[in-house]
This record gives sequence, C-alpha cells and structure tokens, in this order.
Amino acid sequence: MNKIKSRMTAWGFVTPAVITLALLLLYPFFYGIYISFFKTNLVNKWTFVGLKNYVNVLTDEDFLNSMKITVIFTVGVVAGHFLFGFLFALMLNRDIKGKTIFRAILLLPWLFPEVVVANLWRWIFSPTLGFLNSALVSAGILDESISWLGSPKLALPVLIFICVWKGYPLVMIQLLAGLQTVSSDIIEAARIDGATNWQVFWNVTIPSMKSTVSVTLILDVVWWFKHVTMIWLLTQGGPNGATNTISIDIYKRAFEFFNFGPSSALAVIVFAICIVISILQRRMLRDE
Amino acid sequence: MNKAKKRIDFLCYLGLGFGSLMVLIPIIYLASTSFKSISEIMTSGRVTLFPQKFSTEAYHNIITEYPFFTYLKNSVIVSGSATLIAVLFSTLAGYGFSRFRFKGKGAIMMFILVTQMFPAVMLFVPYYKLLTIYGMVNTRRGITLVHVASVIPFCSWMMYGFFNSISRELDEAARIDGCGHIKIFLQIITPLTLPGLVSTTIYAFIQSWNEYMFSMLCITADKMKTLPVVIGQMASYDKIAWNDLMAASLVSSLPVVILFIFLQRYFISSMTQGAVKG
Amino acid sequence: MLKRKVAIGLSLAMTIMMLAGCSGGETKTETTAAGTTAAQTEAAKTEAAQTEAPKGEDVTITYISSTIIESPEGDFEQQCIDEFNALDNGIHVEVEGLSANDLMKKYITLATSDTMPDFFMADLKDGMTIIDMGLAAEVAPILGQDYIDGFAGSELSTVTLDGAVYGLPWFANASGILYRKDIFDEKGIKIPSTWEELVDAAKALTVDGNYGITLVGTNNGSGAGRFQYVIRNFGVNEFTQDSDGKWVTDIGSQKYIDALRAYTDLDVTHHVCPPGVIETDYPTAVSLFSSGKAAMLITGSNAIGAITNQVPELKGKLGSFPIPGVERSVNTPGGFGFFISPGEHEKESAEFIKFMLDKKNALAFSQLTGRLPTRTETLEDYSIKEMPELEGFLKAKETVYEMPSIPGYSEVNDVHGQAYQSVFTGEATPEEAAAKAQKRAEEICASANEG
Repeated sequence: MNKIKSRMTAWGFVTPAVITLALLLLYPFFYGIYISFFKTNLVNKWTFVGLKNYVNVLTDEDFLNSMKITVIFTVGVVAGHFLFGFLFALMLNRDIKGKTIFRAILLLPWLFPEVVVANLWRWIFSPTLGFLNSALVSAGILDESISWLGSPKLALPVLIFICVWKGYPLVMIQLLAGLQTVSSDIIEAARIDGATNWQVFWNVTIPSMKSTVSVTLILDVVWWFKHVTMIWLLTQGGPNGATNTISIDIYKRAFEFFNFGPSSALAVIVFAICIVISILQRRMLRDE
Repeated sequence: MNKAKKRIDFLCYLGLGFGSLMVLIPIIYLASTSFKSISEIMTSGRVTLFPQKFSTEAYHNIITEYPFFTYLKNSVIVSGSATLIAVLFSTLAGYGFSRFRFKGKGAIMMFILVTQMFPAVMLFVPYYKLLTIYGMVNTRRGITLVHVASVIPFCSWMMYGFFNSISRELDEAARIDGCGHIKIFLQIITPLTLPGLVSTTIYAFIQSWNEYMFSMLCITADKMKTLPVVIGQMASYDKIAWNDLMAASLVSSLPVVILFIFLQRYFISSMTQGAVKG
Repeated sequence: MLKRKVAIGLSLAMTIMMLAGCSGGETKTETTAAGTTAAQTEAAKTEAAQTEAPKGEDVTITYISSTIIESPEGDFEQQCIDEFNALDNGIHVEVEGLSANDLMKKYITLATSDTMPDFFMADLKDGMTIIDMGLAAEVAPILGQDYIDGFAGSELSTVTLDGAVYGLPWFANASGILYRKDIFDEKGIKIPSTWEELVDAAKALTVDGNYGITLVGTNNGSGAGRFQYVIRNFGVNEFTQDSDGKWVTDIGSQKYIDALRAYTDLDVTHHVCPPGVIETDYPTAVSLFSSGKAAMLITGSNAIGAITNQVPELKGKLGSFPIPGVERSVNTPGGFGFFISPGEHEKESAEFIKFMLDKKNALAFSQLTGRLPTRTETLEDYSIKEMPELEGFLKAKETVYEMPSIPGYSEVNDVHGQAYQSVFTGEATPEEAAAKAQKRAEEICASANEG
C-alpha cells in the first residue's frame, strides 16, 4: 500500500516534465518515421515507397562522404571543447588572482546567440571586407586575402574552430564544477602518501570526474553530431560540399529540394546512430 | 615547491590571458563594427579594429527602422515564461528521479535523454502542425512551449544531479519527524538546492533567449518575433548592413551578459555543488 | 496521505493549465493580440459562415511578403497597404514579413497544417513547386482573362501549367550585367558585346587591387541563378519534354561544359574576380561592386535599388548591358509574384493585388527599386524607358527563355551550384563537374517521369 502511494507521488513529481515532452516530441518523432516511407511533398502528394528511401540514401555515393565529414566535424569540435574546456577548467581551478574575471570572460561565447556568433565570424573571415585578412595582409603574413570559408581545404577546419569557440564554455563549466567536487581530503591523503602532482591528477582527479565527463561527453557528441544552425549560417554545406554534414544534407533535402521522404529516412538513420554512440560511450566509460 | 607553483601560475596566466584575448577580440570587433558608419564599411579600403570615425548611425537605424523594443519585449516574455515553466517542471522531475525508486524510472530517464537525439530538422514541420492543433501558431505561448520542451531534458538532468548531491539522511531525519514528501521537498530539500536552481535557471534562460531555428519557423507575425529571429533576418537575401547587424547583435546579447555577470558567482558555486552526473 | 494527493493534483493541474495555454507571465491582452492574425486567417477558413463579416465591417485578409522587410521596397509596400486600407472598401489587409530565403520553407510548413495566408508572395522560380503542391488558385476565374492578358508575357510562363495561370507577377528581374559607368569611362572601356570582349574588358579593369567582375559563387539561389543566365546564353536547355512527354536534360552536354568553363575561367584562368568567389554571396557582391572593387556584376535589375539605396552617391553612375550571347541571347524571366490561396478570400485578395499592380503604384515601385514592371501598360510608359540604368535590362528582356515546368526543379540550383563550386575550387575539371551534374539532372528527370 505504502509502496503504491510512494509510486504515485513519484509519478506526480515526474509527470509534468514527461507530459510536456511526450506532447511535443512523441508525435513529431513518429511523424518523422512515418514520412520516411513515402515519396511526399507533405502537402498533396503521398506515395508509399516502402524502404526505397532508405535504400536510396544509403547507396547514394555522397552518403559515405558526408558521413566522413560529419565524423570529422563532430570529433574535431568535441575534442576542441574538451581540450580547451579542460585546460581552462584546470587553470581556473587554481587559486590565482583575478580568476573571477578570467572566468567571466572565458564564458562569454556561450552567452552570445548562435546566429550572432555565426554572423560575427563570417564577418571577420570575409575575404574582401574582413578584419582577419586585412590584419594578416597588413602585417605581411599573407600576400593576399584568403577565402577562408570558401576554400574546400580550409572551410571545415575554420568551421570547427568557430564551433569550438562557441561551445567550449559549457564543457568548461561542467568540468570546472566536476573538478571542484573532487574531495580535497583525498588529494591531501594522496599527497601525504608521496604522490606527485601529476599522479594526483591522473589517479585521483580524473577517475572521480568520470561521471561528470560521461554525461557531458554524450550530450556534446550528440548535439554537435546533428548540429545545423551554425553550419547552415556559415557555409550552407559548401564550398563544393566540403562541410556538407549529414544534418545539412537532411536540411537541404527537406527545405531546399522538398524531398521529405529521403530527408526523413536520413534523419531516422542519424537518430539510430546517435543512440548507438551514446550506448557505446556509456558502456565504455562505465566499464573502464 | 614554491618555485614550481610560481611557474605553473605563470603558465596559467599565460593560458588564461591568451584564451581571454581569443574571446575578447571578436567581441570587441563586434562592438566596434556597430559604431562604424555604413559608408566606412562599404567603401573604406582599410579594415580597422576600431572605427575610423565613431558613428551611432547603426543604433539609430535599428530603433527607427524596426520595432526593436517590441522584439525585446517578446524575447523577455518568451524566455522569462519558458524559463519559469521549464525550471519548475525540471525541479519536480529532478526531485522525483533523485528521491524515488519506481517502475519505469530508468526508461523515462532514458526517454528524456533520447529526445536529445532526434535531428531537430525533422521536428520543424510536425512542431508546426502541433502548434496549429493547439492553436498556438504565431503566438508567444507557442514558441514558449517549444522552448520549454527543448530545455527540459538538460535541466532535468541538472536538477537530478543537484538533488543527488544532497544527503538522503536529511530526508530520513525529516521523515522520522513526520514530514510528508511535499513538505520535505518544499521546506527542506529545495532551499538547500537554491544555488542549483539558480544555475538551472540561467541555463534555461540563455538557451531560450538565444534559440533561433524553431522561433524562426514558428513565428511570422512581425510583432511576435524574438531578437535572434530578427538578427537572422537582417543578414538576409538582398543586402547586409553589417553595422546595423552588429548593433542589433550587441543589444540583444547585452542583457544576458549583464545578467550573467551579476549571477555568475552563484552559477559557478552551484554547478560545483551538483555537477551533472550520469 | 492527503498531502500526497494534493501533490499529484497540483502537478497535474499545472500540466493541464499549461496545455490549456496558460503560460506564466503572459497577460490576457497580449494573448488575444497574439492570436489575432493566426486565428483570423484560420477562423476565416474553417468557419466561413460564422466569420463572414457583416456589412459595414471589414474583412481582414493576411498575406506573407518578403519585400516588406527589405529596404527600400518595404516602406513603399507598407505605404501601399496603408493607402489601400484607407480606401474604405470593406477590405483590411495585414502583412507578415519573412526573409525571401525562408519563404518556401514557411509555406510548406503552413500548408501541412492548413494555415496558409489568404495570398502570398513568392519567387517566380518556385512557381512550379507551389502549383504542384496545390497552394495556388487559378487566377483567370477570379480576375478575368482580360486582366491576365494585360501581363507582358514572359513572367507568366513561370506560373502557367497546362495553359492555366496560377500566379500574378508583381515585378520582373531581367538578367544582365550591371557596370560602373564612372570606372568604364575613366579606363576608356567599351561595352562588351561578345564573351571574348567581356573577358578582355574584365582583364583591362583588373588593376591596382581592383577587379573586373564579381561573380556570386555561393551554392544557393542567387549563385545558381546567375550561372543559369550564362548557360542559357550558351544554348543549354536545362529540361525539355520530348515528343512522348518524357523529360530530358541538356545539363552535362558539350554546351554545358563550354559554359561552365567560360564562367569559371573568369576566376580560375583570368583572375578577374575579387578573391573568394565561392564565399561571395549576393550581398557581398553588391558591396564589392558598390565600393568599386569590382566594376561589373552579373545580376537582375533589382540590384540597382539595393545599391543606390545603400550608397546614394552611385545614382547616375550605373549602366547595364545584356549578358553577351554565345549560342543565342536569351533573358531569364524572374522576379516575384503573388499567389492566391484557394478559399474564402480570393476576391478580396485579388482586389489588393490589382491595387499593387496598378499602373501608378507599379511605376513608382520600379522607379524606386529598379525592378521591372510586369504589365504592358506600365512597361509602355515613357518614364520607364527614360531610366538609363535600366537600358540594358530592358533590351535583354526582349528575348525570353522558356522556364521548364518540371516538378523537382527546386533541386536544380544545387546541381548547378555543386558544378561551378567544384570547378572554382579546382577539385574537378569542367568535364567531371558536368558529368556529375548530368547524373543528378537525369535523376530529376527520372523522378518526374515516374510522376
């Protein structure tokens, strides 16, 4: 009896959030899966085509290529986030003067809207009117302006750089918070046992942050794997497909070509990939 | 030891200084562009970090050419109410997950995480259909609801972390004293997690304030647009007045920055208290 | 125990409250204001009988426009709306603005949930997609054949399917090359009439850090549109129907390769374009041109308005000439038009559109923006012919390229975009790029032939 009551109460607490999510996400989710089996413009043409959309997008020669780009993009961005997030978190975790100011400054990119950040960097990197080219040329580093986002070799690295700039603060905070929860008693104890700084860091700090790292990592990977806004605003998948990630492909197929069927099929595939990634990551981080 | 510490400190300053520069220079350039005149931007052969001639033309433009304060008001209302609802629901959910064992808990928590994995692109059209069914198209309520749904997952996990960091012994003690769940939740546990609430609130507010894609698709009526939608629209098809664009960007980012500077102390300390854990 | 029930009740109540549409902070008045436009359109459609305005009260019609948020077009459009609303003819017009790039996205979203506005504006190149989706009503029954016949012709072809007309072109864009008269005069350059002369002129203009011509190399509508102007002059017919009604494509043919090579050579071989062609979107190209960094710009006539509005000093310093013909010299009809949603307010919508297209308004609009009028009566007015910067565009407009009405045409922008971008970046030869484009164009044909 008591157990039932307790369960009811628990549900009472959880229900509002779950209902909101269910109401807004379940329908879109199934709708997305549903249209992946049709050739449709969503308005007046619905032809059931079975798995044809899946076969088509998976056998499309560009699929593997955009998959490759997506993986490079995601790994690059997430690695950047963790590299800088972790470095800055470690530095900010030390007892040094002025760290509140540094912390506030380093968090700034997170506070600016994506649409602002994308436009700002587009403006800075602009080949003809941009500040960067102008500065590099007048400093004598470059002979003539470079088209940063217009070069197939540079576009992806530049894009990754911008997304790292935009996204590292959130990782930094999470890691900083994680660092500060590491009990100082254990560190003291390790020190007394004669452990060096490096050993303390590697054997005490890192393991005790594993759970923080795990969720942050999963979410970061999943978010950037399917990211659209920044890429769309900066390069639209160009130049010549150099930054054409799967999400951009989905977006283009849906809203540029109005081929909603194949677009949804790709979306379902991405969804499946994200689930697999997160399961793998969780397992790996847990078993270690 | 001391010497080593000094050396490490020096390296820290170097790293932090470099990082700060990387962050500040683009932002300074943003601000400075907003004080350039359009003719300087368009015709000057030389691009300078600071304006050659200081001009407030862009600010004048955004106020006279757009109902800028209406947009600001929309952003405030949407983000404010989205934050309020999302934090309320997430707090309840976080507490529920943290303090109860019940059938399906794992599944629900998984469900919440899984909602983060469906490509947003495919949500646009069905979201819109849903809002039509609920009669919320082109309303602030509609876009609020969408924002609520998009921040609840992460906020719930955040609050779950915060509640977990508070010792369960407190609950036990209170229960022995005869307190019910509600009383424990409202009077004992929630006050303790106040800093956590603050950081969840900040997170939700920033996400909602900055959200672009969904807002853009859910709103057409000019008087309902939020700031990011308008900024996106300013960099559009025909021409980009970079100074106007940067002025609008600065004005729309400033409230969040100021808010954050005031609240950052709580934010960091509370993040420490209950780092998001799996 | 009681408390627990209260807890459950409370959270449920909150959920329900929210679903019922009570979302914190909002006050009643705002909610009603918010609902007005959407509710009105919707209500008007679904409950026709009830919402039919009683005599003496205005019928409100809503439309979506992209020009309303542009300048100088927007101010003019708003002024027209205000004038129309002041006419006191029982019709009240309300407008919602949306960036031109987002229009189609929005219409599809609106159409799937049956909330299209009473009428709407769209790029004429999307005309076929709109008709294919059944979003537009046939206009002859609403406005009468006589009125339709008053359009000059070329633009109508983009909104005509099987002889029926579904849209009302508002303004046209002729394709051409806009040039800086002042720079041409200074350097003593003559207006080129062949492709070779164009290349030579561009070379001569590329001095002292300035360049001959700016191309829009982004992979989007504005980039592909300009490329299309060129390939059509090289004799490429993108899609045609053979005698069996099967779609076939010319994309990838020798003519296509030649056009692609000539176009990309401007940058790759002759280096007469400012750096960063691929990144140069339309606004960037316009500013390069306005600042004098580039002396020529392949464009529609609409650029004139955008440029003189931004840099007023350039008034009178601009000229235009048609893109040199190679195989032939054709003009690509383009521009924006109005489409009326089938439904309750077709007549009222038509009233307003007629008002906008009325000779006086159309003329004023063209003079302000450099966008060409679509109706014969306006085109024949002497004041249009007296605008020097329009000369070349008007000349170009005399020959017309029939736009293909193939479903799936929306994808062709990307086909071209990929093609020229891969050549600009040096990742493919024109032949390779053309072969890939051909493959995709054939897929579009196959999909269209399937029906």
